[in-house]
Amino acid sequence: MLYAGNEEIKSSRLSVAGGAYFMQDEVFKEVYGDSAWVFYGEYSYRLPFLLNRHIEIGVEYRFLSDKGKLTVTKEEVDLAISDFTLSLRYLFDLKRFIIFIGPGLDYIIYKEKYPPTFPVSSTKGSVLGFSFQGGCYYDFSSSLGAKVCVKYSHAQAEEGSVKADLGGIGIKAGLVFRFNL
Amino acid sequence: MSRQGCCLRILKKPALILTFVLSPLFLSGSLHFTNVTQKNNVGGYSYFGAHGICWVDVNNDGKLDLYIKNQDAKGVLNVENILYINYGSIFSDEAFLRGVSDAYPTGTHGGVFADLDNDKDFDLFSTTTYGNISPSYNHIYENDGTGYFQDITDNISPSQDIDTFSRGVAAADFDGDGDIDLYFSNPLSEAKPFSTQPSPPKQLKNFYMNNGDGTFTWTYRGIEWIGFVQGVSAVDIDQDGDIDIAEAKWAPPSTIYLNDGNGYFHKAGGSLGLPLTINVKDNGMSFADLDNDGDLDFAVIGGHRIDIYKNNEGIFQKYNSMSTVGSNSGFHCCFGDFDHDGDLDLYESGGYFYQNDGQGNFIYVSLNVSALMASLNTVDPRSSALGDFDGDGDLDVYIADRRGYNVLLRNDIDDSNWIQVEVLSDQTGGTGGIGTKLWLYEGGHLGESGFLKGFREITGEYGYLAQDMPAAHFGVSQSSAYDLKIEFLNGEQRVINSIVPGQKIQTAYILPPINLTGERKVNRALFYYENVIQLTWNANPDNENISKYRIYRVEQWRKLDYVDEVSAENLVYHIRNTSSNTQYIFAVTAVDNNNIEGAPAYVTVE
Repeated sequence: MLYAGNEEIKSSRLSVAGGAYFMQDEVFKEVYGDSAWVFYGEYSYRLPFLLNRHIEIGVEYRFLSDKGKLTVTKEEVDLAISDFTLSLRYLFDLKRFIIFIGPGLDYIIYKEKYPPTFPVSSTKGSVLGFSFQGGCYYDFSSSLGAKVCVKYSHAQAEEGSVKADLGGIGIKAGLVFRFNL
Repeated sequence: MSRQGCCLRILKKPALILTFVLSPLFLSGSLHFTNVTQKNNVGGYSYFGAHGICWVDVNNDGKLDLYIKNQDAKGVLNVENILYINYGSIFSDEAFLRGVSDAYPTGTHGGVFADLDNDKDFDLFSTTTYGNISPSYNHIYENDGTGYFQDITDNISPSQDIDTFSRGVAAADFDGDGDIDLYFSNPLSEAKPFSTQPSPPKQLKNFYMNNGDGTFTWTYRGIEWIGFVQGVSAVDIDQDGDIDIAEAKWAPPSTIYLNDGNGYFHKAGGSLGLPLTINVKDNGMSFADLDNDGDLDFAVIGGHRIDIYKNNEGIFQKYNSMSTVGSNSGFHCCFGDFDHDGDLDLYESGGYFYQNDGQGNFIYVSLNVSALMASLNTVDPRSSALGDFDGDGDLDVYIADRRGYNVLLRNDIDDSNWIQVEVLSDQTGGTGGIGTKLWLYEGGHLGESGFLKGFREITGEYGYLAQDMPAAHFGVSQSSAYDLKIEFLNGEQRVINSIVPGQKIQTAYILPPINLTGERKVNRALFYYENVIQLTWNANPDNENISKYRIYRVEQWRKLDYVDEVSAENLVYHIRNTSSNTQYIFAVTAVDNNNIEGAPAYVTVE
């Protein structure tokens, strides 16, 4: 259990968020549009022993699911991307606002399903990437808060001769539950 | 035969001597042909035996090929028919290679190419002539689209169980059900049914009615056998919209069988004005509009004479008669506008050319001596057929010689005073246009009888075992434009206006879609892509009631391999998963509500 002054600081945060992901790949934009809805879940923990408790680590799960159309035949395709991010953030405590910023390491799993007329039925794979994010928490109370965040990701997937840039900018907002383990 | 021998033989022909002496006195024109038999390597077998001829493009390469029906070749059994493939500068006999040598004892007389399965190539119906060797059955061969054939005779039901002495044949949609039926003469097992007296009528099965599914029903449809038949012609003689049959007979009088519209026939020769004289030994009846009045007249040949009958409001009246050349009893005569003066001239197979005076009267017309010699020196001339084998727009002539080498005469007229019309697909959906009628009018006067410049009806085998090229040929004046009315066998009409001479017009019951293009594209997903070819086209505004389009890949020559079909609202199709470095050819056809498929449009994607 941590304390800031006399106030108890609950070191764990569990957040759920939703947002939009703007992938920078041009083919993605052509097939799926400029952005896709993304859902996030994250557990973060403020480390008690580094830089006067201004460091937080987080494990985030991101899920993106979208339907698109092949560029010529306009048949429907499905894309699902699951993304695990291990992040390290520096926190600036400004009373109820806590601003954070920091890098992360991403492990991305993707699957794209095609119509029966396509030469293959689906593509599955995974790739490592990195990300950098910044945002802030706003604490409504000692147990409940909000979170907004902007995250830039970089990841290059390669399937045969096809290269897909899975990087882009994600914007998310959600609720944060604070607790102590 | 030596050249000296040829000359000696000519001098034995008094008619020819008379011709040379008198020709300047009554000639109103001249023709120039060149004997190109040797140059094109189309003389036939050294043991001879040729009877019938078909000009047809079997491999869809745009050039007329030549099929020779051989029989009774110096006692040679199993004599093969010849399929000369036209390679532009030379012909090559590929009958055996392509599966239509039809080498059965004792050979072939009648045979006709027609699109029996409506897949836009010419299939073959070939007879076998019984000569005391069994079995002697007729054969049907299916073209795979590239000019290679498969014997589908087993598709006839009930199976053939008697030998037949078949001579002339006919192919047409006799019952109007949308496919080509077959008729053959002399369906009896007599080796030499040449009695001089008519036989008591025999109701023998002599039709193979097409069931539309690749099978045929062997049946009797009202044409009794009453004596030996030579040539058979099938045209709409009474102009009532169905195909009638005329038979040239030996013992009984030659006659006409009228179709009731459902493919059942009754004899009507006498009521139509044909003579009832017996034992004349007619060999062929050839129908054509000899006086440009829009109906079919005819000539009957045999018994050393050619009688010409004019159609006078449905009744035929003999108005001219000519002797055949020399000792030749006369087997076949054909009509074509050889001099491009706007009327049909007459050629007696192995004899003379006669020019039409425009009223249907025929006058000997001079021919350069070498070509005339080639014609007259045929030893036992049988059939002859007309086709533009060199694609220069005029009618060339091939002559079958039973006891000598065949002859190919190239028409050397060098002008643009012609129009050819080819029916790419007709009301059956098949190619060839058998039964299609065409009226050519002076431009701006469509339908006005006074401006009719020619009437043609496309037919299969006619006269004595002849099949001309499956296109209508008109001789015209180059200074005018012309309007064309086309009537398909089901009565549907099309009009093409302002046709400029010197070109081959292609038409169809259902026209090809227009503006067909093929474009390579990459069909992308995020993690995978395929190369596709996007075919786009526009509906042809002259088509009606189109329900769908069919897409084909063209692998070799013009063989159509079905790919898919799309509804009429879709004017785009994607060929999936293609190779980026392969050239492709595709075809698209329109299909109407009655499932009749039109002529294809083609596109090559480099």
